[in-house]
Amino acid sequence: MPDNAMPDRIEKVPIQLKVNGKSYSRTVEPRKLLVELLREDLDLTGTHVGCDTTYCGACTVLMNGAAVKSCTMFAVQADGTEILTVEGLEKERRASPHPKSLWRLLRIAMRVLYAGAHALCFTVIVPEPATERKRNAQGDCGKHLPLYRISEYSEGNS
Amino acid sequence: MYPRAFHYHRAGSLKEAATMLAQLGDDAKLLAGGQSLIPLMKLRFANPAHLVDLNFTSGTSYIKRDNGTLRFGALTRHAEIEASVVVAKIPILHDCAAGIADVQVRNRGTIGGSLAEADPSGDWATVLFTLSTEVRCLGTNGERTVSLTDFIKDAYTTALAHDELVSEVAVKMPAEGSGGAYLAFKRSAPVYPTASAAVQFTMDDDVCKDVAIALGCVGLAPIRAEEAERALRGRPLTEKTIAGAVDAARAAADPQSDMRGSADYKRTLVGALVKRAIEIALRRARGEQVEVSHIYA
Repeated sequence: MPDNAMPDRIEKVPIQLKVNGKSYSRTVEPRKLLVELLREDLDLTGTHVGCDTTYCGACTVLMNGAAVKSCTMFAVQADGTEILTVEGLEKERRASPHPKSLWRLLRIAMRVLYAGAHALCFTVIVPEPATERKRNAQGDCGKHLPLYRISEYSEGNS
Repeated sequence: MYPRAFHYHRAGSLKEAATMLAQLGDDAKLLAGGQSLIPLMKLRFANPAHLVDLNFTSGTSYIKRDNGTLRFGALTRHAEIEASVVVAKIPILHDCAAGIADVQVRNRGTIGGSLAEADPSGDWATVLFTLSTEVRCLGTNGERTVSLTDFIKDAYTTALAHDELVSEVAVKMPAEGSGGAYLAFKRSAPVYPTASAAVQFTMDDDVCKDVAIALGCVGLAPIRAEEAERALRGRPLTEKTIAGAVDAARAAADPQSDMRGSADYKRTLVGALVKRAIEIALRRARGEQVEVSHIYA
């Protein structure tokens, strides 16, 4: 297809998924990315768009328990899955603050560390400043956390 | 970044996916793990009008061992191969599966998708060039088996017809006394390697009974370093014979200068990787357990 041509009419796709234990039904355009569904439709702005090119891992969420980059999946592919975002992690930690659950949280953070995705570690273990959260919710500013920028430059991505 | 709008089709089986490809024509693409295709679509380098999603097919992700052959379902994720106990017995496969990109990409990316994309910097094709590998291709006219060397035609070009897809990857289990290693040099976890080398030995005491050496990222397709193999095959492995093989491997590389390094740099790098991979493969062929990971700059 030529670069500027658009298909005539795009059929939207109904999907159902569980995010942080809550069930959602939505009808989405196929090209909608999972991270955009989470941030824009479900208002879960804890998951950030970082590099947007499958490098940095800032958009990592757990899908059926496995870490995935939500900027590199279409929302339609998450149909029928269970997603855990950073908001869900926070709830888990608050609900049962004994060593066992804390260990579980750390284990998830470790998985991310292993991937070299420094950015997500910050989103997982460093609470996001209120101002940043507000600006992100309005979607009118750069999507990077200042902390993330540091890791972006130190990563040396090609 | 948004890709161009596209029509979404969810295939229930690989056969149905092949039928969809035949009906939808040239503007249709298959979506497997999506870890290469989705970024390409977001950058609008790929603009398919139709996507056929394979992720909802069942029975397409498996690792089976039968009669000395390892069979991988096309949708088997790199992470599943990394965690497989059967695959752990063939260290070169584990090296590859455990080293591709980062954990998030490995959780999504598939072996079938990687081969079908035929990216010159991809890992699987380079590794599987050193083992006897066959690719099963399923189309609307039935199934056929193609050896991997015939399957990869050129950069991003395979033997697949438009209405065909990869259904299975069959790898012959190496003989007793074999050992292999795959080393890739990367600037960080999620990027493609700058260069890579795969070496698979079958030893008879100190004599090299058979060897396969493949080089990745230094040509339009993985390169079998046949001169380097000849320098080792049937000979005792000494410092001198290994040095001869390394020189031959360097000569076999055909790298391009790009943002990852100059052609000269890559040629030197590939020599160093082959040398190191030979040493590790040899230790493994002797029964030693050697953990290796991709090397980072």
